[in-house]
Amino acid sequence: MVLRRADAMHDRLRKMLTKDKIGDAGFVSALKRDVGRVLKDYFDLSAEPEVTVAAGEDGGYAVTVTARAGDVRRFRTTENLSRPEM
Amino acid sequence: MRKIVVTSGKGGVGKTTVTATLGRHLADMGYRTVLVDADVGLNNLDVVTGVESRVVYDIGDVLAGRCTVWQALVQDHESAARVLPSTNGGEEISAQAFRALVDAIPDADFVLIDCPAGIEKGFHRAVSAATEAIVVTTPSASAIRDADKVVSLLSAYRLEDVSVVVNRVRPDMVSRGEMMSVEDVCGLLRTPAVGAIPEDDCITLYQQLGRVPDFALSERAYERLASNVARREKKVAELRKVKKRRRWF
Ligand SMILES: Nc1ncnc2c1ncn2[C@@H]1O[C@H](COP(=O)(O)OP(=O)(O)OP(=O)(O)O)[C@@H](O)[C@H]1O
Ligand SMILES: [Mg+2]
Repeated sequence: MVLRRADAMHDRLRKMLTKDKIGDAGFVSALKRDVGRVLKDYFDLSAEPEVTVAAGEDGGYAVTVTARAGDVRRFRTTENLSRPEM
Repeated sequence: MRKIVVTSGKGGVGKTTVTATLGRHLADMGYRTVLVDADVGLNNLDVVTGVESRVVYDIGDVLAGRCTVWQALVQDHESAARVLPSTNGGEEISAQAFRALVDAIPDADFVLIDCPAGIEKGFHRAVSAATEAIVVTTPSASAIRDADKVVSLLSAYRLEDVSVVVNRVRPDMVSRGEMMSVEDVCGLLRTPAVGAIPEDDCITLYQQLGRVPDFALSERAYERLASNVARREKKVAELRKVKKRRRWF
């Protein structure tokens, strides 16, 4: 099988366009901050969450969030709610 | 009146050529067509259409009240299309003024606006006056990258339609897998194709002389483009390699 040059170029461009949109301008770091803020309302995070965004085959994006937490938090705004069961 | 801006981001990909040739085809189909040169300062729609020696007034004169839009229109010598020439050094023309001027064009079914390269003020001015956009790109990485930025920017203008013309396609290279297909390019841009124009030496050769002749390779592709635009359709077939007739001796 010969690797078609057009396919290689297509692949390269898809990465390039993804990077243009989400690579610079702090997109991922802003996303990470926002995701972290939301998660911290629910969990005691043991580390900052990891967020990766990759271009999927279908033209969409695969967004992966990985986070480790030591404990579940009570909701700050709804203290009277029962604690979620583990 | 349909107002279509022909834009690209990257320079030299064929905006002016597409504006002029599409405009002439629409005019040949019987539509009253006006070609507006929005490339203020670096105008060349008049040169590409060959009307430059007959230009009396330009956009600057209209805006300064020295003439009416009607008086500034120059008849194309190859078709019934009319050209509204741009002005040298009119960087201060506001988007609102330009838009009002385009809206004041009398008796037109189609107004095609030839946008300057880049995504600065001139881009904004040209796009603000339009209700539809055609983004021209070639199958090259840098042109597609710029087209992608333009497509993103255009989403802020609430246009009725945004579509792509892939220009300078080499069907032989596409079939050998050496160039991306029209489908590939439009997939990357997530915008439908309204036209695919092959690389055509006739364009380079005849452009400065007047009209590109009927036998030119790109002629059929431009007919297809014009018919798509007129009918608001997106029927674009992948360009095929022209088969050489086999000779028998
Ligand atoms: N399909 C084609 N095949 C071969 N040559 C082409 C084709 N389309 C355009 N050209 C040539 O490419 C050159 C640039 O075209 P054109 O001036 O239309 O680009 P442009 O996008 O308007 O450039 P600018 O950004 O400077 O305004 C011209 O010399 C033209 O003849
Ligand atoms: Mg031009």
